Amino acid sequence: MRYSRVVEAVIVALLLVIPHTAQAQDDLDGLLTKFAQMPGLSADFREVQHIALLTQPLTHEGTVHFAPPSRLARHTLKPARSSFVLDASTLTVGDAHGRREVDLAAHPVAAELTGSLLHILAGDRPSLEKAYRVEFSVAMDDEWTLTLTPRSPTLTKVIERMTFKGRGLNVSAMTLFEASGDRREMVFVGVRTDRRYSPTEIERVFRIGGP
Amino acid sequence: MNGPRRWMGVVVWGVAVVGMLIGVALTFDVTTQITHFLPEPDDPELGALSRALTRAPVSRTMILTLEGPDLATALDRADTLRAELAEQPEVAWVSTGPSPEMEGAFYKLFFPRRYLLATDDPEGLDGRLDDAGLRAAAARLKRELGGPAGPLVRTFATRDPLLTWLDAIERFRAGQQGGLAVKNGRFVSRDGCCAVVFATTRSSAFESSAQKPIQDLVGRLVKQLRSDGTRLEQSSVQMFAVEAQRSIQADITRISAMSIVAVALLFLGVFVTPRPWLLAHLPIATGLLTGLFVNLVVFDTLHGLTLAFGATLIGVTIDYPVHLFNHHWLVGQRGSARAVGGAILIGSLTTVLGFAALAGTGFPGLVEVAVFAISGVVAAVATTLLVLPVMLPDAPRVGRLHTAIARMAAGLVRRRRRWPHTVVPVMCALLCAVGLPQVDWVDDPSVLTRLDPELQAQDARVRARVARVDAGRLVVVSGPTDSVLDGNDRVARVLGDAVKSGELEGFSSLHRVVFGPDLQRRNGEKFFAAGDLSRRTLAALEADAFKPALFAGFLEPAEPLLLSELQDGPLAPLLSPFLVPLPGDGEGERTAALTFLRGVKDSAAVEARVEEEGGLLFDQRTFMADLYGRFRSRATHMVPLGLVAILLVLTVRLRKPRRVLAAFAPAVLAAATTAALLGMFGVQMNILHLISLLLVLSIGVDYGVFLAESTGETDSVVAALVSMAMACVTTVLGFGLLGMSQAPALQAIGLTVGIGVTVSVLVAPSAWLLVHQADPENAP
Repeated sequence: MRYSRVVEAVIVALLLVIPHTAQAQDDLDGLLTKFAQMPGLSADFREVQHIALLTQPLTHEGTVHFAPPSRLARHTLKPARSSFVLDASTLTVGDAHGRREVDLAAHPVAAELTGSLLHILAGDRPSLEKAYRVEFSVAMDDEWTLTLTPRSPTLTKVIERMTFKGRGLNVSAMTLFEASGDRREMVFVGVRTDRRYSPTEIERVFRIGGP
Repeated sequence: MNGPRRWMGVVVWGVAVVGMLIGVALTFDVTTQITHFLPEPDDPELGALSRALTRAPVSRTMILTLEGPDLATALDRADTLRAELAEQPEVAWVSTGPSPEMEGAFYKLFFPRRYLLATDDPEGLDGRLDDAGLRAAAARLKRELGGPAGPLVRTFATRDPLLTWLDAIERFRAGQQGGLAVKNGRFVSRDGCCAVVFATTRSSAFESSAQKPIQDLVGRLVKQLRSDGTRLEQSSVQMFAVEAQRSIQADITRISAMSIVAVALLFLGVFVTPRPWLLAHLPIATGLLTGLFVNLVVFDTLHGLTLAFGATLIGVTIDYPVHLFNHHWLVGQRGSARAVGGAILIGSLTTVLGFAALAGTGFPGLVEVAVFAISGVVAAVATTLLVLPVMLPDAPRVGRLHTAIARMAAGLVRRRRRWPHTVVPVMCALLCAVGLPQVDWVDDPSVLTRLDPELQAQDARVRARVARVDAGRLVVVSGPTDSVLDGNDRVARVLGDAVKSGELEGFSSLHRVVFGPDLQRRNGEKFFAAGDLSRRTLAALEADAFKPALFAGFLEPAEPLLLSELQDGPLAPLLSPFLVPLPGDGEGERTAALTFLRGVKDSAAVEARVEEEGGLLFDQRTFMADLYGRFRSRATHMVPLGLVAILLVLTVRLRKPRRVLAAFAPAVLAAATTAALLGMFGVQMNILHLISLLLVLSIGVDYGVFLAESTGETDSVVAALVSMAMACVTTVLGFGLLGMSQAPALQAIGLTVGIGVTVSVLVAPSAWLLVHQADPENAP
């Protein structure tokens, strides 16, 4: 009697889980489709880096910008101004000490990180799944969590996993768990998913030092 | 000669032929190593280098690019191509990207030496390693940890807080500027459009027979991939070598077929039956077999070019059976061999002397050609005189064409007026006066081959995608393997100065990747000699909110990285384009380190800088042109010596100066007229024209000797004249038709021999008639 109840409970649980997983998959596709349709995105961010080598966390504040298909900019305003701008395959980094182009081909980690963001924002699920094990879940309060675990051995030596959280198109947080145990947490506020960049704005925003 | 004795010669010939056939079959070994035909420069080190370069991986490596509808497709097709090439036994190594073993080996070998490889300016370290410099280093470490490369930096930061490893990676990357990128572990062209595959073949790139299957495979894949929108292109020496062989072979096949048919028709027309035509090939075939046999015995191996050139030279021996047949048909003696034997022997002796001049050039390949041709000529003469007479019909039927030609020749002999015979020699002399000053020699060996413009464009496209360097222009430093990089470092420093001065656009050197032991030690001293660097660094880190305990022991000493460690490991394929192993000098292995240059603006200034540091600016084109120029000059000096020897032989044999002159002068005049005509037509003469002129001289002297030896009977002179006319036509059909070839090398031979022999056949009778009419005692 007791045994049959356990079986029953398992079956019920399975019946509950299966539609939920299917639902989650549908939601991921739906979410990625919406991202793909987005005209552009901007947000303010606050990043806290917990680095074991340092006695205190590093904190950065600034803005992030995305213009489809492949422009990405992050402008750090505090504690010191710095920028990194991704245009196609070129990542340019600039701060008070100068500017330099980071060859993504020579920095697979930086390439994967920027690539994963672009895959999400472009709604490119096949590329995402090729590079990462993708887990997606939606909580009762509609907050979704997307967890990306790298597949490439090169990357797993450095990055354990990445999680993105949000509601609808509103990405609220990203956490990067490094293989070393270090952690980078980014919280996004003032997210605008209807941001449409004019050519002049693109010139101004997607460059070192702007906006 | 009675029956059994007559057949003795045939028996001896048969035994010799069978013996040589067995010998050749047992030892036959053909090589196509181009090094065999490279002239030996005065500097033995340079000679060793030029030979080593042709065998070095850098010249055996094919670069293939794939451009697809998108990069992912191109990368996918690159994997297919790699798999296909890897199956080829001729392919020694194929790669689509740095292997995990390479990455592992790079880290394992380079990271422990990070301080030794920190910078190429050890003096500049003083400012980086004082207290202010260490504070800046701590701040930089914090910035890098917080930046996009942070997770990567974190992996080695505790062992390298001064980020010397990051600098080494950056320098390595800078060395790749304009070169390759890596995406998903695969090589991608810098512009990101193409996947790149490297394949190194086992045999020299010039061994076209070994390379053909690979090129055929690539050709098939080009067509196959085109159907799904992927463009496969390559840059390789192999591509040109196989294409050159294909084009030359096609030309030779086409021209040979025409020549065989035309010569057969001529023989049939003149001698009516096919027997003479068949018999005429016996001396040539025996000559070829003997040449093969002697070369295999003397040199152990035979070069493909020796075979080609030697066979061409032996081709002139068709004149001997032609002379014998005409004498036999027209004079009708059973003892025709005895009657023409003297002429053929003297003719062949002068030919041998002419060919011996080739041996005097000191060109190893041409020494072999000379041995091949001389032994072949001797065997062909022996066959002509000992074997052919036995096989000739007792009462040959003289055909109508033969009779008509003989009648014309007789008319010419009987003409008593002298002045018409002066026309041709005078015209030739005038042509020489006008044309010889216009002769223009070109020593650039590249003129010997005509490269397909389409393939050249493809080669240039692929090179531009993967290696922005000038083809054939490099700086060479050679020395013992483990210290050659010291010289390479010095050269890199002065080339850096040359770039700053605008003498050079850029260069690609192994210096960007690894330094020589000297520079590594100097870097090491800066880090390890100052005993308090560790303490001061930890203090600077603590001051910038780092936990110093985590960085304890970061300053790990190491021994310099030696080239021999790299050459034996998985990184060898990456280094191989820059290194050429040289023969040891008894004190150990030697290596040449190559630096590839881009955009040389001031060659003399770059050369001066490089030479000051013990390097050598090597321009392959200039180098080869210089060698061929020296070779041509030596050959030009050898030819007069050959002529003197020929003159001596003729003097001994013919005695009377007029007869010697009649036999000798037309040949020299014909060769000079040929050179003059080529000069007047604006043909730039090269080494093959020179060799062909030697051939013209040999053939011309043969004609003169045939006439000179036939003094006395009118029939005999007529037979000699008909022989000459026929020999001329067969030579023009055999060699002259080569002038129609697309290949400049064949064209040079064809044009020179074609013109030369025609002029010879016109000049020789005139000279003979002039001399003999002036000396009625000898007139027929």
